[in-house]
Amino acid sequence: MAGLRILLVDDHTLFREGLRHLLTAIDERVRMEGVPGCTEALERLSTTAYDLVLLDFKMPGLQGVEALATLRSAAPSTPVVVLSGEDDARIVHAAIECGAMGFIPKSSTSEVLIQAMRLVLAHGVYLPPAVLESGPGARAPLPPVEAPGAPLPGLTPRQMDVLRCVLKGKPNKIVARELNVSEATVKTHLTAVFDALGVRNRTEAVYAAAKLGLRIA
Amino acid sequence: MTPERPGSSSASITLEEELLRLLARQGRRVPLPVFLASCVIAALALDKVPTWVLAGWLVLVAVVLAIRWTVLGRLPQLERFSVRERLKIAALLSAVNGVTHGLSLAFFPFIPPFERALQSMLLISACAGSVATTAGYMPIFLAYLVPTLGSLIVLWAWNPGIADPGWIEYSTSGLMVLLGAVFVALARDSFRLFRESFEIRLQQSGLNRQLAAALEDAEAANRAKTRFLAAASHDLRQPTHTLSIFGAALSMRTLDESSREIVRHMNTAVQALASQLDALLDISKLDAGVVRVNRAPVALRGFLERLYEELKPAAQQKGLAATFECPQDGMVEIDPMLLERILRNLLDNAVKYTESGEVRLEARRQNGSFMVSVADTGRGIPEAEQARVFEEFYQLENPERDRTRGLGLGLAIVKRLAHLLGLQLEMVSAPGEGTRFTIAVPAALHRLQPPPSASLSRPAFNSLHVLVVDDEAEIRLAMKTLLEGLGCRATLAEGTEQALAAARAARPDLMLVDLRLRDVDNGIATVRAVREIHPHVPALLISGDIATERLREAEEAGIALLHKPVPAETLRRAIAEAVAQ
Repeated sequence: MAGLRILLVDDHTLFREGLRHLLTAIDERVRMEGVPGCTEALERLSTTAYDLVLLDFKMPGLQGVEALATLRSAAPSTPVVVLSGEDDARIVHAAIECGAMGFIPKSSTSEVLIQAMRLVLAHGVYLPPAVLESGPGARAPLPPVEAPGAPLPGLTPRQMDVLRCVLKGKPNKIVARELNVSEATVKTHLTAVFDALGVRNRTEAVYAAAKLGLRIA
Repeated sequence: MTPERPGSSSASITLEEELLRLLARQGRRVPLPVFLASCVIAALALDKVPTWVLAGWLVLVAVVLAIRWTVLGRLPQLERFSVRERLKIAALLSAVNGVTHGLSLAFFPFIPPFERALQSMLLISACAGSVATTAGYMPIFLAYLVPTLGSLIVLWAWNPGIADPGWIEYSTSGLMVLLGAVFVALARDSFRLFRESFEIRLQQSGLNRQLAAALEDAEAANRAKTRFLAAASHDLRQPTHTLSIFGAALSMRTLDESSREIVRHMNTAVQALASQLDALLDISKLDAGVVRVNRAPVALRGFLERLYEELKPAAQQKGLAATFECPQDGMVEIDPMLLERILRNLLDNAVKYTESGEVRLEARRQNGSFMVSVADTGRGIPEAEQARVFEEFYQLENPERDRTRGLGLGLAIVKRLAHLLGLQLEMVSAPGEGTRFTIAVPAALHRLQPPPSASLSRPAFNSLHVLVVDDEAEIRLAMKTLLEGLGCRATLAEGTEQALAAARAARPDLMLVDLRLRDVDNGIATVRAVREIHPHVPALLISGDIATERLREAEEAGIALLHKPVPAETLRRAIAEAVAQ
């Protein structure tokens, strides 16, 4: 089975090299391509399909939430995980709101970086633990989960599929197309899913998924 | 009095120009009362002097007043004459005025004593008034005073037409001489006052300009500081991130024992470097005053519990007990990130300086605040050192300056943060007895626990009228549903034309416009067109287009741009922000 195809967008050449080493050390099948900025990223995205985009927030030119939004528009089916020197809860929140599927602070220790990358490569949702407590929906009780990747109790496999797509940041229209249902059906499923998670929207669902250790694929 | 060329800007107006303006103002105020007084004077001599003479004199008075009114009124603008020349014109007019009024004394011999006294009173009042209307400027003032008062003095001494003038007439004349002297002194004082007030005003506007320039400099310096710190934060941290990642990659490889140990030490060093860099940058930011405080209601127990979870393993490693106590529901009003920073620093210190026993994190309600404290059974701080521990780079018992024990900035940061948040920080410590830091955190005024079932369908807006412009019918309907869910009222339009028609019918509170519309139509044009009918309507542009020209266009038009897909929460917030401005 082929490994994940990952696009890393980061202006720091050495960092790109370092991350490539780390990713292949975790899973040698991973194929990582690095580009220094959004312009190059958009070019690559227009010709190649990636399983995941890792986006550095602080770059010259188009950066931060604008860069994230641009990449999301260009490739709405490709999940984006943000890498950033900052781990400010507000920035994390903004990134998730804008469609990111996870957030990895660059300032984490080596051990935490390994953990985070492992989780992301295993299709999990990583958010810095500090932020999980103060995130939206933090006070709501979480449903019990048997094992990572197991469906939530009370949800059909179909609904779990919808949840996974939405966590990846796909807009409803694309979810509808991929699962071959109408958008209205997607919305209905989402209502059930959000209720089951005890959340009000996708952002809160991402935080809940991170806490629960849900797997996205 | 610095003479300057005529026509200088009002910023550098001279005293003479200011005087001309005053004369112009007074020249317009005075004519009517003076004319009325002249009529009274004429009436006094009505039966004694031929009517045509009286009429002729009144006409002369009126003409001179009219000329004065026009010319004085225009003098400030007549810049082809120098200021000196214009002042001479004013003096000339004054003299003519004085002579005209003094001419009334030609009737003097013919009128009885009572009427003479009345006429004298009116003329003297006119002289008194001219002290104010000339601001006491000697040439112009004297040009009026001499013909009027002078003639009065002469006539009361000479007394033509009176059979035997007595001591009353002569003493009146004498008194008028004294009065003249008094008027001249008053005029001199009056002009001095005028000049002084002018000079003070000049000084003040000069000072104001300097203050404005200094303020601008200070603001620019502040902005420069913020930019520098932001750049420093990013650039200084980059290499440490890279080291972390390579350290991580290396530690994943198969290594022999010593290599693995080397990697471990390197990772520790990088971590130490990163955290010390952070501490330095934090202190710099706090000192530069660029740290913003964002207060919010926070559930205290959950907040402290998370810190406790971090404390447990660190304490366990050193064989210390970690205890936690906090009331079940308590809400505080604080910036959570900054408070967390304070408590984390205190907890780190507690663990660092305690060899055995426990570290305790607790909170207790006291009146309108929660007293949050970090206590340890460490070695304590001797009284002599207690003030110094908050100093930068000061560490107790680290004479070798062993860097694995930090830089000594922890408490310095705590002190600054507490000050920034306006919180009371208390320290109680004694050698051998441990240390206890307590910080008073204000309780939140009302409990803000939204029920977990609260959904986005809770109306956020009160019938806000939103004009939605998009060329696709499905999107218009979808947006309408979304907006109605938020409590708004939506009017739909396909493009600029329909939007204008809708806007004419009813003013929208907000426009939500897709950037790309049919053919050559575009969202920015729509916003501009509607703003011609209803200026200042807030607008949001929505775009799926990623081309940077679009972004720049929107930025140049000064309209906020949202990218598709727009999550409902982001839209709600964007609407709230746009409408609030």
